[in-house]
Amino acid sequence: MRLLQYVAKRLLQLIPVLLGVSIIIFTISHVLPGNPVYVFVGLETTQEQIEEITKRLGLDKPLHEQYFIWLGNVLRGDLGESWFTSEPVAQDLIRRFPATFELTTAALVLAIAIGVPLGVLSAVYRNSWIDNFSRGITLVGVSVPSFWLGLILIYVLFYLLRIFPPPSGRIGLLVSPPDRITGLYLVDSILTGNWKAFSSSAQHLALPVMTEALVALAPITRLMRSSMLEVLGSEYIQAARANGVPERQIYFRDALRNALLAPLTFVALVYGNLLGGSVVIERIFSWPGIGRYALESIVVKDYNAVQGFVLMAAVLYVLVFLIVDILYFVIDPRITA
Amino acid sequence: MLTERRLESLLEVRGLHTYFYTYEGVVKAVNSVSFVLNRGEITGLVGESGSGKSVTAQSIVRLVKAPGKIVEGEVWLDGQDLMSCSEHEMQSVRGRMISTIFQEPRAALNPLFTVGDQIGRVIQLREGCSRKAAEGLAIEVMRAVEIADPERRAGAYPHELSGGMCQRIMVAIALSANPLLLIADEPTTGLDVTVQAQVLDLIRLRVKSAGSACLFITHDLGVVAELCERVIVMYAGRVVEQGPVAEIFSNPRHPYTQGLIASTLRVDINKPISTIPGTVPDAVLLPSGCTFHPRCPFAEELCEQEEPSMAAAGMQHRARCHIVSGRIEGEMREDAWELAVAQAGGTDSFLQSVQGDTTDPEVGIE
Repeated sequence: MRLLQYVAKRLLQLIPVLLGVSIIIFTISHVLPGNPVYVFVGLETTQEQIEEITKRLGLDKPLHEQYFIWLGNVLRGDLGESWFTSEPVAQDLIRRFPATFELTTAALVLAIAIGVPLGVLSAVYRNSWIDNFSRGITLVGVSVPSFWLGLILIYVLFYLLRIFPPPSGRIGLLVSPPDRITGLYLVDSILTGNWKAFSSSAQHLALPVMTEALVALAPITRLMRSSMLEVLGSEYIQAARANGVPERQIYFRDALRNALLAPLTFVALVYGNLLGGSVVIERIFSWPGIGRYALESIVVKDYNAVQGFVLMAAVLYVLVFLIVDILYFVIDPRITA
Repeated sequence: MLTERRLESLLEVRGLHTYFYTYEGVVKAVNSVSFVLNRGEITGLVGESGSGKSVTAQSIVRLVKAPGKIVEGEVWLDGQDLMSCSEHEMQSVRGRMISTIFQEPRAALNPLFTVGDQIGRVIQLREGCSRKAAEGLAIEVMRAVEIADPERRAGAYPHELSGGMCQRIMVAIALSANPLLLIADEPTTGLDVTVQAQVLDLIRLRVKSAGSACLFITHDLGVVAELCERVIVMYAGRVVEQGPVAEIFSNPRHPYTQGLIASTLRVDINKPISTIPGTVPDAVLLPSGCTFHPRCPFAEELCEQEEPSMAAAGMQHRARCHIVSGRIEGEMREDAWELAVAQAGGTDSFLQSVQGDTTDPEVGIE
């Protein structure tokens, strides 16, 4: 009941946030230099023709009026048409989003699955070999740029060792994708029992997931370590020890839950960021996600597509933070609705 | 005679040294500390901040935080040497034979679990009973420390309760074990006076009825006078005086104890409040000889050169001072501390005036 109330309240709070976001996106794309009308017209166009197109596009109306027209369209799910793909932008984004979602989520799950235990262990066994090992890994993760790491992984694991397939997208060229249910190849191939597609898409996921996971892993591990160290030095842990609670229980029951609070926000930040498409990684691995779509749209000055992409990225960000806030609410009793 | 003594004493600390290895150097937080705690008695452990009181307590249960380390010493609890126990054995000593109450009750409770859950958990660990039974026992335990409406309060989180209530819960957890030894580390410091009195009553009642021993750490001499039978005074990691409370309050022999007593507020006697000049010395660079000599109004050359050893100062009363041991033939004027305040404005002139008053130029070194 308390939870429902909290969720309802947070959802209501999203309305002004998203309105603000929409204003910013609209304003930025309309104050940018360059008249979009010239994209349509050739060099030989007369002034009358330009005025006519301006009128047709609604660009002669006052800016606030244009905003409300645009907002009305957005609310109806109409993000305009992409000049490059000649498809509605919303449809383009929806078709490409599962690829980004699958990659990002798999990478984040992997980063958490390794980063949290590694951070905890390096805090518990401070300055031991495992701490030094994790320090080394995180140093690499922080200092190596993802494009370089991606290329090295491709070179070693595909070109030299032939363990993984070439960076040719989500699935092998000769394998037909699973029937679309969710758009996530792994999920869809399991649901349809298409094991050939499953194995191929899992193999194609491996390298980009490893690349993205290592980038996210480093800060998660460090944060987890410092958070755990702080909690282990706290009074209530000392009190638990003084009450005869065994060390193992102290780590995993008393300390871990407290120590997870700080890195949670960071994980949300990373996830929100990556969901907006990791442009570089998607480019390197020919991954047909929204990051690559955004990059291509920018190159050809496809305003509607860019605007739609930014709006979607912002909404995803806000949603991720909503989920994290709800998680905090569930974990930490000190947060009240 | 011998058997009788053994029955009475519960905890014996012998030559305990706990050092902290910091970048600045070795801090001798606990330096050759020895004392005995008797059953059914509350012993006050007093001293300024940084004198090693809390580290002494942590050393007894072997929970000294890094970079601290117990270097040597023996701690005998009921005939068992805790220093030679395995870590696993210590876990069953903590929370069963020795319970600890902490200074900050709210910080000592885990913020993410209900208090009922936290009490129940310790009980479950100790008794090996079911979760359900432990929860029931937790409510009984809360009722025993006079928490009203324990069923409802058991479901509360620490941040929903007052500091006093949290401290009752810590006391409840500590006392529910019926421990042989209760260590209370400034348990009433943050509480308001009425709550303080209630918590003290609770501790006194339970220690007396269970025949446990209690080490009560405080810097409040008023609480010591009211609650304790015996008192241990620590200064810069060393015990400087120990004995029965009545004896030490009426006849303090160590200059530091005298200073502490002189600096307490008294409403019954019309006297000015005095302070001990200077501060606790730098833990890394302790003064030579007697560590108190730079602040001592009676200090002489010998005090700078040689550290005094504990000497008998009365019935079960010992003090670490060259004057007490008779190495320096001097007399400590009881009113030295008060005179100092009356006469001097600043610390420096205070020291001179006191030394000028009390130092007999003919006193030699034996």
